Amino acid sequence: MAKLDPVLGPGSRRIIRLADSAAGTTPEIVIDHWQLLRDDDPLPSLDALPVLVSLARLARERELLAARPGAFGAWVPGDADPEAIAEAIAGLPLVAIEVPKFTDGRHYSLARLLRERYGFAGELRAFGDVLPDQLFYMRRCGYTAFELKLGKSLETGLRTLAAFSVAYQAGADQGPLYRRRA
Amino acid sequence: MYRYDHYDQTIVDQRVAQFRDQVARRLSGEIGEDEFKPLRLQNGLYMQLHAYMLRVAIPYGLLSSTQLRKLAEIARKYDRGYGHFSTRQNIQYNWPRLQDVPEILAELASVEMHAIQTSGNCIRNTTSDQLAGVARDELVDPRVYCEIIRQWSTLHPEFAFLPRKFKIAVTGSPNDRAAVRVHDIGVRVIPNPEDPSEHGFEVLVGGGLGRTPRLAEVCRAYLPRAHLLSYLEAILRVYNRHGRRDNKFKARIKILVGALGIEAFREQVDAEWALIRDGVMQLTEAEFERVAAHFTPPAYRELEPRDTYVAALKLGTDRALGRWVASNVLPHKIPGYSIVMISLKPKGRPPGDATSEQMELVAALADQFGFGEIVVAHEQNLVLPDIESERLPELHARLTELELAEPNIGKVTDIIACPGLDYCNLANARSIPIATRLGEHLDDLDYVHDLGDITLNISGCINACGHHHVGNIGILGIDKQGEEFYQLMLGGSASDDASLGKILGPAFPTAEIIDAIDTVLRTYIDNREAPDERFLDYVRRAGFSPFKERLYGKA
Amino acid sequence: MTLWMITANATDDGAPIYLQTNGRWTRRLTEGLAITSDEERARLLGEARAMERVACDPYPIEVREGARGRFAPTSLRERIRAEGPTVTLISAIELRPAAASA
Repeated sequence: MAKLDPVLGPGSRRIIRLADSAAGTTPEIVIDHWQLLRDDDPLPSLDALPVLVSLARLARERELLAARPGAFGAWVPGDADPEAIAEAIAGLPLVAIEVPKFTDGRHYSLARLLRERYGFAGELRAFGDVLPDQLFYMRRCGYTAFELKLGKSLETGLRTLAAFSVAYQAGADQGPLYRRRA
Repeated sequence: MYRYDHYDQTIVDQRVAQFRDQVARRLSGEIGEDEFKPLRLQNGLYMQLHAYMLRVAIPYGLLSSTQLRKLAEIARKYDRGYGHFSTRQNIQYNWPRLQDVPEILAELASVEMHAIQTSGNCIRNTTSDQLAGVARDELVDPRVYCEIIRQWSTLHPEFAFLPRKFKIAVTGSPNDRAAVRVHDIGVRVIPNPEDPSEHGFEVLVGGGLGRTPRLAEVCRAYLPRAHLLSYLEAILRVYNRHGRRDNKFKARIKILVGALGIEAFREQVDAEWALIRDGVMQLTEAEFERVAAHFTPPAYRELEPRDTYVAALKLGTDRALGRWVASNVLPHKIPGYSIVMISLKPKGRPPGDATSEQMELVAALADQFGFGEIVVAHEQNLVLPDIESERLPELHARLTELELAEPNIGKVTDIIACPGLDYCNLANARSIPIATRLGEHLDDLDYVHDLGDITLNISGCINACGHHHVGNIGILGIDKQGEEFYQLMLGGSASDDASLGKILGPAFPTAEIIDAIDTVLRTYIDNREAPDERFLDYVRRAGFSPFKERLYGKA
Repeated sequence: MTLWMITANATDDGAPIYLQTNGRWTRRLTEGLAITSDEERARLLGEARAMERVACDPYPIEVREGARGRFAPTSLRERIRAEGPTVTLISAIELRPAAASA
C-alpha cells in the first residue's frame, strides 16, 4: 500500500479551498481539521473530528463511522479507476485524491471524470506531491481544495491559481472557448 | 495565416507573466531544480551540454515575415546571432540565459508567438505539410485543423503530465510530407468517401521512432470533422490513464498500442469517445468558418501558366540557376506561381542553422517576392510558398547573397541531422561534423543531381531526433568504448510508402564513415537500371547484397 | 589512480562549471578541484547538490592529469562540454555570396 503523506495526519493544517462567492468560486486559505487515517490507524478520540478513510475501510466500518458526530469521507489513490469508485463515493462530503508524484498525471483524468461524468458533488481535494504550479490545471479538472506538500507556500498557491483568465479547451469549469468566443 | 484575437493574446501574455514568476522563484531559491524543471520544459527550455536551449514553437511551420524578423532579432539580442530549425518545424536557440528567457517570451508574445509545450510530457507542436495550401497534390488544406488542434492542446489541464511526450502531425495530401505514420497521432484530412463535399479525417495512432520505431496504424478510417477534438481527447485520455509509467523508454503511446493491439486499443478509445462525442466538444460550423477565414488564399494575380518557362530555366545556360530551379523549385497549384525551397544545407555549414542576417534576408524576400509568409520544412529548410515564376531568376540572385541558394533540396546533401554530441546531453556521438564533411566531400553538384532524390538522416543517439530510421540512408552515431562509431542503415522512407531502414552491417569509425557513404552512392550509380530509378527503389529492388559486398567484401 | 571532479551547469546561463574548494565554482575545468577518494567525492557531491541557486544537477566526472599537470576529462562528451561545440558557429562564419555561375 502506498505510504501516506503524513501532512494529512493528526492535528490541523492550512489548505486552499475554493469557496462559493458572488464571483463564482474564490480560493482562500483555511484551517482544516480532516484526519486522514490509514487502514490500521485508530479513530481519533475526539469523535467530532472528521475523518478520511480508504474505500475498503469505509465499506467495512460505515455504520461505525456514521454513528460518530464527526463527518467521514474517503481518500483514494491517484490512479484509481473512476468507474470502480464512483458509486462508493457518491454523496460523500469530501474525497481526497492522493498525488504520489506530481509527474504522474493520472489523477487529473480521475478528478475530471468523477466530477463531470459521475457527478460527484462534494469537495474534491488533492494531497500528496501537490505543488503550487499545478493548482491551476487541477482546478480546471474539478478539484476544489488543495493540500500542498509540506513546505510549499500557500500564498504562492493563491497566486498561481489565478495564472490565466482565459482557457481554450473544455474543462470541469467551463466549455470550450469556441462555444463562448464573442 | 491565423491572427490572434484578444483571447489568444491574453493566453500568451499571461503565460509570460506566469513564467516570469516561476523564474524569479527559481533564482530566489523558493523552488529548486526538481520542481522547476517541468515548468521550464513546458516553456521549451532545456538544459544542454554548454547552455540552456530554448525551443520556440512555430505552429505547423508557418511564419509571417514580421515573426521571422523577430526571431532574427532575438538571436542577435539574446543569443549568438543564429537559430536552428528543427525536424518538427520549430526553432531552437542554443545560448539563452535563464533570466533573459521571460523577456524573450515577452518579445515572442508581441508577435503572437510562444514556446508553450515544446518540451515536457505534454502535447507538443502540431506539425504539418510544409506545402500546405499551395501544393498541387493537396486534397484539403490541413492548416485550419492544425490551428484548431493547437488551441485545444495549448495548456490542456488534463494532459500536462502524460507518461511521455505526445506528437501530432496533420497532412492534407496523399503524398505525405508530414510523416504522419511516425507520429503518436497522425491525421490525414480527407474528403468524406460518401460525400466529397464534406471533410473529415483518417486518424492513425501509435507511430514513432527512437528506441522502438513503429509505424502508426489506423484507429479510425473516417471521422467527421465536427468530432475531431472529442476523438483526440478520447485517445489522450486512454493514454493518460493506461500508458506505462514504470519505464521511460516504454512510455510512448506506440508501446500501449503495440501491447494491446490496435483492435483492443480502438475499443477503449471508442468506449471513451462514446461518452463525450455528443457533448460540448463538438466543433461548430461557426468555429470552422472563423478559423478558415484566416487561411483564405492571398491575392494571387491572374497569370498565364509558366511551366514551360520554368522547365526552360532548368536547361538554360546559367547552370547555377538551372540546377537550383531543378531541385529547389516546386510546382504551385496557382498558374504562374512556384514554390521555392530555401536550402539551409550549404556545403560545410551546420545543417538547419540560419544567422540573423539570413533570417532577415528571407523575411525581406518573402515581403518583396511573396505575400509575407515563410514555412519551416521538416527537413530543416525554409519555404517561400508564393513566388511568381517570372521572378525566379531575380529571387535566385538575391538568395545567393547569403548562401541561401544551395541547389540540393531532396538530394543527398540535403542532410537532416540532429544537433548531436556537439550540443545535446543525450547524444553518444557527433552528427554535425559528419554532415559538414559529407557536404564538402560531395561538392560536385552535377554528381549530386545525378544521384537524384535521396534522403540522408543522421542521429547522434538512439532517440532518433534526426529521424534516421526513415532516411533512405540513415546514420546512427554510437559510442563504442569511448570512440564515435556510425551505423549505416538503408531503405527508410517517411512518406506514404513509409518504411523503417535496416542496418547494413558493422558500424564504421569516424575516419571511415564518409567513404562508406560514398561507397553506398557509387554502388547505386553503378548498378541502377536507369538514371531515373530512384535510390530508394533500387535499394528495395536489389536488396542489401550489392552494398554489403562493396562495403564489407561479402554479401 | 582515478581522479574525479564535480561538475554542474550554471543556473544562470547553463554553462559547464567545476567545483573548487570552499563551495566555489569555476568555468574552467583545468581549475577544478581534483578528487581522489570515494568519500570525498560523495561529500562534495552532497555539498554541490545543496547549491541549486547557482548549480544545476551536479554529477561527478572522471579526469586525468595530462601534460604540464593540467587536468582533462577522460570522456569525449566531457571534453566537448569543457571546450565547446567542435563545429564553427554559423554566425562566426562570414557567409560568402555565390561565385559567378558555373
